[in-house]
Amino acid sequence: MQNEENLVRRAQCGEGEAFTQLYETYFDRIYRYVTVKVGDRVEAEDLTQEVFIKALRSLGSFRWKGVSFSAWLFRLAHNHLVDYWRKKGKRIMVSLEDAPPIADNSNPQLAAEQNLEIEQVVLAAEGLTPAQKEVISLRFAADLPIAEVARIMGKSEGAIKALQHSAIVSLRKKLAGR
Amino acid sequence: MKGNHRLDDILEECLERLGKGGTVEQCLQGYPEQAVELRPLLLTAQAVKRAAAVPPRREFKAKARCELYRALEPAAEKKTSRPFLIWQHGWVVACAIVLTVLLAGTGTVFAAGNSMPDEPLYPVKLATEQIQIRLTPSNLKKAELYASLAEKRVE
Repeated sequence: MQNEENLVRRAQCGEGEAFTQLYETYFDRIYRYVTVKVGDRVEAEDLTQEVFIKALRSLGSFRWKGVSFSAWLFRLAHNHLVDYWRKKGKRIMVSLEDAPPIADNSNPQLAAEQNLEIEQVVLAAEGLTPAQKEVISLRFAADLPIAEVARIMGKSEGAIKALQHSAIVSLRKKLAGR
Repeated sequence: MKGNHRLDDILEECLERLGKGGTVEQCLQGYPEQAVELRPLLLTAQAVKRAAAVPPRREFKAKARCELYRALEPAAEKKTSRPFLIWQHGWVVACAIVLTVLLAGTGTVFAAGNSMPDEPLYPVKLATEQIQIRLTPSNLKKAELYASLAEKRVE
């Protein structure tokens, strides 16, 4: 964390290489987070790129006071997606024709445990509440620990654990076709 | 409600273990009473995590990196917008190289290569890297250099 704080400070002083290191650290995670939320890989590429350009431009406003850089960056990504949806006027990019069927009718119980495609997860996640969906995106796509998810979402760890539990139960039902 | 609260904690504990390379069976052994309820949740979580691990396309990553360097450049361009400054800038770089070699010595520069931020040679390392970057003519080569320096840092 100390190292990251140092990197952020150097990046704020205009050191390009420091920002590049932060970019390399978070690029894949932000991309996966965005992909799960928008459900379209090509659209996710553009949005990921925009998030980092925005981060570069607003890095000067970031203050290391109780907020980690990762929490700041994921909040920025979240807000960027909210703006994107507001302009676009729609929430989901996956069409039913494009996505593989959610459940195998011959063995619905197993469907949720087998190899899923990202599009199936995105479709199943449509039935979740926005908070549940955010927890799944941050926890499973961005691979962030509970404590970090709690900081990003401004909730207690207990609340995040409860959201995680209920989200997995809902996904399970949806993916198993029940 | 209390039972659910406990299951929230157990589920999270098991997910943490799975994230560190543990298996579903190992998790369930620790919680035999909750195993029936827990197993399908852990399997679903695992499947979702696998599906969500979509890597960005290589070409996109390379293109995105170039875009970032383009965005990082305006500040540097401002400094070199006047011909006199370009000339001056060239001299600064040349002087820096000569000074680095003469005063610090090749051995010191080499030793600085592995230094950490809290070590005395770290500024020498940063200066050497900056010189390398300044002397790299094309944006693409600069992008590659930034990436390789970043990789070195991560190692």
